Amino acid sequence: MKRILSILNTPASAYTLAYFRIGLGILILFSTLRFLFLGWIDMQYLQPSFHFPYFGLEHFTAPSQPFVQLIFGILCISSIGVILGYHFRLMSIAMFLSFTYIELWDVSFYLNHYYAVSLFCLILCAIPSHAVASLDASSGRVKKSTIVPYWTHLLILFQIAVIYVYAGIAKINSEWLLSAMPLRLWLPAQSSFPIIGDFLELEATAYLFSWFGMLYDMFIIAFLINKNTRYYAFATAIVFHGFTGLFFQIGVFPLVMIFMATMFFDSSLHARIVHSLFRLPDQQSDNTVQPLSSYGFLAIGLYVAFQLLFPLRYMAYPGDYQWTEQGYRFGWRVMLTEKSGIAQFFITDRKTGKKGYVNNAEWLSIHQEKQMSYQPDMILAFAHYLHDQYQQKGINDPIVTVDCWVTMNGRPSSRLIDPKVDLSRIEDGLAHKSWIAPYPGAIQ
Amino acid sequence: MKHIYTLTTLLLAIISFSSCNDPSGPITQGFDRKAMLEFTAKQTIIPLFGDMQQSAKSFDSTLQVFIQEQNEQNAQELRNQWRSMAKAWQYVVIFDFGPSKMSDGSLFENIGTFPTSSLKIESYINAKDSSFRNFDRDSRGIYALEYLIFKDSTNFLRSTAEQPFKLAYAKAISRNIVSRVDSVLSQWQNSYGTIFINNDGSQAGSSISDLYNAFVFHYEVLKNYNLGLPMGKRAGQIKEEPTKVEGYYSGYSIQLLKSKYEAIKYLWYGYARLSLTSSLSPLGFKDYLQSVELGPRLIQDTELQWQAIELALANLNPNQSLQNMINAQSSALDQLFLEITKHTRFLKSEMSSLLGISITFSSSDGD
Repeated sequence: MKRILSILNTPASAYTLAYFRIGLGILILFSTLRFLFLGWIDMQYLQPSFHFPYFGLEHFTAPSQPFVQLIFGILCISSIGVILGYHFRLMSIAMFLSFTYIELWDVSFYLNHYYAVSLFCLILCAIPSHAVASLDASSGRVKKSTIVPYWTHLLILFQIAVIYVYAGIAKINSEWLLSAMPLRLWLPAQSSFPIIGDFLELEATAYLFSWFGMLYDMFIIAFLINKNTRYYAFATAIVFHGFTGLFFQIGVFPLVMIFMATMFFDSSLHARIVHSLFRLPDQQSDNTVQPLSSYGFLAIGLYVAFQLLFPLRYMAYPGDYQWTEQGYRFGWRVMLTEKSGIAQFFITDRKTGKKGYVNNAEWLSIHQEKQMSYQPDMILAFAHYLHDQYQQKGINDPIVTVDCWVTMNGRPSSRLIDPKVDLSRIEDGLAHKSWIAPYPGAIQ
Repeated sequence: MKHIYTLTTLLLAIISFSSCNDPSGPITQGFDRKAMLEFTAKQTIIPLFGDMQQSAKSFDSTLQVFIQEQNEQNAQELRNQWRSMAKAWQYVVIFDFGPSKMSDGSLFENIGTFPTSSLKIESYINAKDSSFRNFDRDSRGIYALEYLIFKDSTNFLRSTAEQPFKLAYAKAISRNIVSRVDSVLSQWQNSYGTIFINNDGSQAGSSISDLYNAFVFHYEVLKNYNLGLPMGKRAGQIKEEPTKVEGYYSGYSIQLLKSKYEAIKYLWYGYARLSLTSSLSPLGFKDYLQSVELGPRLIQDTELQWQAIELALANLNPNQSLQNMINAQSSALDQLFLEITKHTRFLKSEMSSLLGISITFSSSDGD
């Protein structure tokens, strides 16, 4: 225990944390401006009449227009504050809260890398990233310190490792490794890619990419930690994330992960980069390490345990988690399956028995409908919404059923939901959803 | 350590190349999307818009003849020309992207909106307003013309004599259709045709994605608006609403439905000019599916479902209009609706999965 504590409290460079702070701030500012520029605020949060809530967080769906704009404004300003290290504590908390709040607005926009960024923002709130190269330190608002306890470095590296290793573990299944699915569907679609287009059409390429992807995720951290292989590993990271970024529509994810790979570099390099970006007058430096308190130790322990255990919760549910999606999110299953579905809802008047079907497009955006049609919790949330909407239209306590067919990894569609179940009478919960039809195939 | 890294990479390559003896491999590799796009543009889209342009111009000149000489024979000819135009329209409405996306809405919205609003049409005629500077798209287009020339056809000659602006309004609509179709065709023949053929990726915004999304969108229109809504199948509808069929006033509804269905199906098969009789071999989505993993299985399922729909279509009374069938609560029509609904599984979800085409009309991130 003492040994662990002494490792955690070992002095380490504050420049690594400043580098992390500036990099994360720039990434968030860039992605927020990109979001604004692409008109996605309007498309994703203002146009749809319904937003899919996260379980237990139903009150956090997208607010009305002025608040949507206000929150994005706070995110932009706080990310600039974070980059500059200006009132860093306040700004980092504002950045974490506003970014995470936006992610909670609609589960149909859930992305693993948004979750990752939220976690990195949370870590940033807890570490003294403004001890150097910040307006706080240069103005004397906080004491400049070129050293910080080592646990602050370790926490960041741990989080990066969790993402990669769990993403790698998720790929160890027969579909991914033995059938090269879904890459065997996805890669040939990229055949018009310059130079290597023909190569992407080969079946062998899908196998190569599947196996390489799994091994890359599993072992990249080890290669990044080892000084001898670090730069080769980083070059691989650029190629790997660069290609996935070009092949698939994954937004800023490649940039986030390439940046995170640089966190494994020597602190001296971080210091050089920070110095080149931030030239502030030197202040008197207070180079004593604040030891980790027992509460701090406990908090970190709980965070680490949560990160290790939470992605494994899918094991508590029966059936194939790739099919039922129970315990799927927040588990680093990145680009793991190709799924698509058709969800035809029916509304039946409980008194008159008059039955009609729903045109989902009347209520949902194309993106929302696409996501909903294969995710049971979203199907249930939409069923409840339809119940209320049609009740308002004068239908007596509508019975809501769905005929939902989902195709996974190119196989013939199967029914996802029991079509007889009145979804309006089912409450969402953490327990197993018995109304999900079992998957006819099995993924080992 | 450096050697371990190199070795691992090598090992990976060996594993990868040695594990590709899967028996369910694709039939052929390397589908030429560009060739399909070129074929679709040159052999299907451009000739079909040419047909539409011809029909619209014929209607327009027949209308001019009628305006100059209003008699029953000319009125009949005008109605015949309308039927040809409405039918030609079914074959091009599915290409509602690229040049069809206009600054004031799509070609479909501007000239193909149905059902129309008789109230709005009458009010614009009374106000002598044929400027179309409004968003009442249900007051203009092919189906507003239908209302004007088919509604109350026995009193048509008298009504045009009493209300001369009615013909001026019809003429304005007709000119509007001709000018929009002219513009779309000319863009396809010139700049856009080349852009379409060269944009041969499969991401959102690529030509194949535009073509596929329009294909799926109009299949949904067929299901939801040509059938579901007038049949009273939608949630919240108390009863059937037969006046909402496409081609209500002309009673040409079933022919239009069949043409739209045929246009969609032939696009899947890739028939040149969407015609079975063309001497050119087809090149379309079916060929694309043939080249991808698990595609042959989906082709089989899709073709069986086309057959099921055709069987349901054949069971419809050939002498009845769609609205009459709806009024009669035809069970054959219910069966058709059921079969058309079933097909969304193959056309919308499985096809997009296998071809790796995104069902989004605009881009957004995934992970």
